[in-house]
Amino acid sequence: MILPLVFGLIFLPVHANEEIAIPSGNYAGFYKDEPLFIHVNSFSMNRYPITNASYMEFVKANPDWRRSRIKRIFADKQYLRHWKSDLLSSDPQSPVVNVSWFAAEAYCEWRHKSLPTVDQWEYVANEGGKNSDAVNELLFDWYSHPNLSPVPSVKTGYKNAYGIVGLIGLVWEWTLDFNSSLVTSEGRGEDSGRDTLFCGASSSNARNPTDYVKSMRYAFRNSLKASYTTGNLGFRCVRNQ
Amino acid sequence: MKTLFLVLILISGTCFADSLNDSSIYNLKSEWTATDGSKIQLKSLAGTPVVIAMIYTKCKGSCPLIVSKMQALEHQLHSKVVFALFSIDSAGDSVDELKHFAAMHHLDSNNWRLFSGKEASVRELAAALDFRYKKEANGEFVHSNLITILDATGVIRLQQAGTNFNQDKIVEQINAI
Repeated sequence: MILPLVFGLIFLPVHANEEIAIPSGNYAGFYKDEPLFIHVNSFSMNRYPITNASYMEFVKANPDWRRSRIKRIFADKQYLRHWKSDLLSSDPQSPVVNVSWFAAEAYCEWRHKSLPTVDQWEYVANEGGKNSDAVNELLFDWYSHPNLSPVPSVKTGYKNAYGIVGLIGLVWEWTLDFNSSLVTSEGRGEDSGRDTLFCGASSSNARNPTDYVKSMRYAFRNSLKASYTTGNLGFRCVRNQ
Repeated sequence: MKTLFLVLILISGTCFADSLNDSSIYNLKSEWTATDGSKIQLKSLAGTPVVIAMIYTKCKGSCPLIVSKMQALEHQLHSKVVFALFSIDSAGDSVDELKHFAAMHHLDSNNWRLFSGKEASVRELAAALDFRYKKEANGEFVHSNLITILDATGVIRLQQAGTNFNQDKIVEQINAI
């Protein structure tokens, strides 16, 4: 009785653009100098990370974003390196990876959407403050293992309390303002250069330095540049009301 | 003969347009408003080296310092160089605010350009320059202190973070362009 149901779930095609409404609410800020509770307005978010198949539709419609045509300022040399060619992707139902911030943002804009802000992403990941020990354990487990290659189907991701799938456990995800992390008030006199900012500020300025998995996420965002692409970094979009 | 000449001009024109370096900042399409109210894209700065900083006018700390360092640079340079300031405060910095800022800091309008832009424009340029910023609840910004030297085609030649710039290195780099 259950078996066909499970199989049905796994083999049903992913509705790539399916969105889930996220109610407004508050979540605890990561940095000490942030308000204790950050308010997030309601918005809707892609249920799944953007897949190779969806991204293919984008590059078909927008030739400038094909692997052979991409301008270096918008993405580094690893851009879509896991694809076989310009219009031949691999693993259609897996999250697209090896995409830059510019590419991710251009995709969302093409869908009349946007990348989620750090606040929106963290709010959903925290499941509206319900972020449980179980989720943290899951995160810790994921962070401590090498990423699978190729990345599994988006359907295999962890489904959180909002019904959002694969936010953690599959790939890291771009945020609209990834470059706002780690710039803290302490960074104002960054005379010694930005390296000081990168190394120290993130964990030392965290409200709860023992929140190791969260620190890793913020530190990772800080290590990024908008043209970077890696094999474990994808994205999803949001629609703001 | 005349037609051939025209065709040649047209072809060379096209080639030039396509020859924009892949790494050039001038590939960005975002729109900015100059202090004369005109809307421009970054590529309108092409043709001379440009020194870029992202600032906002209410910034009391590092921004005026960066501007004064850029002025010192201006005095040290003899070739034509454009100094461009891009506001990160989309909500707060109108054209009037920028004009006022330019007047207060005696920014000679021949070498200086000040621009305001929508949030998306700021975000795009900041991403391309690897400039980090965050608006705080009180309306102030926390941000990188960064100047960027572009060559005449919009390719980044040098970036320096912090407020203690290595003036000589910058001059050397610009003179090498």
